[in-house]
Amino acid sequence: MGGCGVTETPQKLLSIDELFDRAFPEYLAMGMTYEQFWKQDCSLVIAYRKAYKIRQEEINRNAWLQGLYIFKALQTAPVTVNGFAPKGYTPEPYPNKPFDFAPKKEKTAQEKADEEAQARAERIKAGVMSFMKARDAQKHEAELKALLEDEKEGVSKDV
Amino acid sequence: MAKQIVLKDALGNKYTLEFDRDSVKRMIRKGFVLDTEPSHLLVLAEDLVTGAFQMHHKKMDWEHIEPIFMAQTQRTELLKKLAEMYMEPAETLLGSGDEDTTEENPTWEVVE
Repeated sequence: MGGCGVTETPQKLLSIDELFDRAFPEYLAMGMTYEQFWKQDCSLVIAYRKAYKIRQEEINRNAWLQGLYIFKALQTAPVTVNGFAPKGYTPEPYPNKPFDFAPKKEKTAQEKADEEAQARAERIKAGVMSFMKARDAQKHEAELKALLEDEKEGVSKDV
Repeated sequence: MAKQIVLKDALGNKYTLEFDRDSVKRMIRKGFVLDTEPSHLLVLAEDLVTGAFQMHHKKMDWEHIEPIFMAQTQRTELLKKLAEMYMEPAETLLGSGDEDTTEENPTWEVVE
């Protein structure tokens, strides 16, 4: 401005058609087609902008999550890899399943009862299985013993 | 959804008036400049109304449109509405519609 030694170029105002031409490539990048931008419902751009924002947030969240997994991998690395770990450091195991994003909801009484019943059934099944295994093992041992004795007797008779 | 106006002629035929970016750009290239002053709007009526027909009824020219337009009541109001609709393709690019509409206090006020 006058006297301060700085010349300012007046900012050029965009006409509407210039605004359209400038915005067009951006919306093409967002996935809009020529037809949609120029010849269809003009408010479609609002939905495209919102969808683009959602996509960007998702990309950001995925990048953050990847960072978290890498961080977890470094945390769980053995001392040979993780040089900064103190002596005697035992790393916790890397999570064996992805992080759970679903909000934890309170279990209903019915769900709790079902879970308890299932746990009880599992315990009984495990008990029966171990009993059967033990019985089979005893039986097997007795059979083996009898077989050995028979063999011993056969040998003594031969002698 | 962009605003539309449906006109009926004397025979009951329906015409949908709407602006897309293509029709607005064509109007500007032909030298159309919107002036919302009511008396000026009447001068611009021919171009504005013809432009509004272009999106859905490309082959209609002023010869066909004029009797339909002249048969309408409250033509000034119709032109005002069309002027609003003409600005819509540009307004939607300037971020209108993205704002949080739940906000009770706008950042501007009208002072008279």
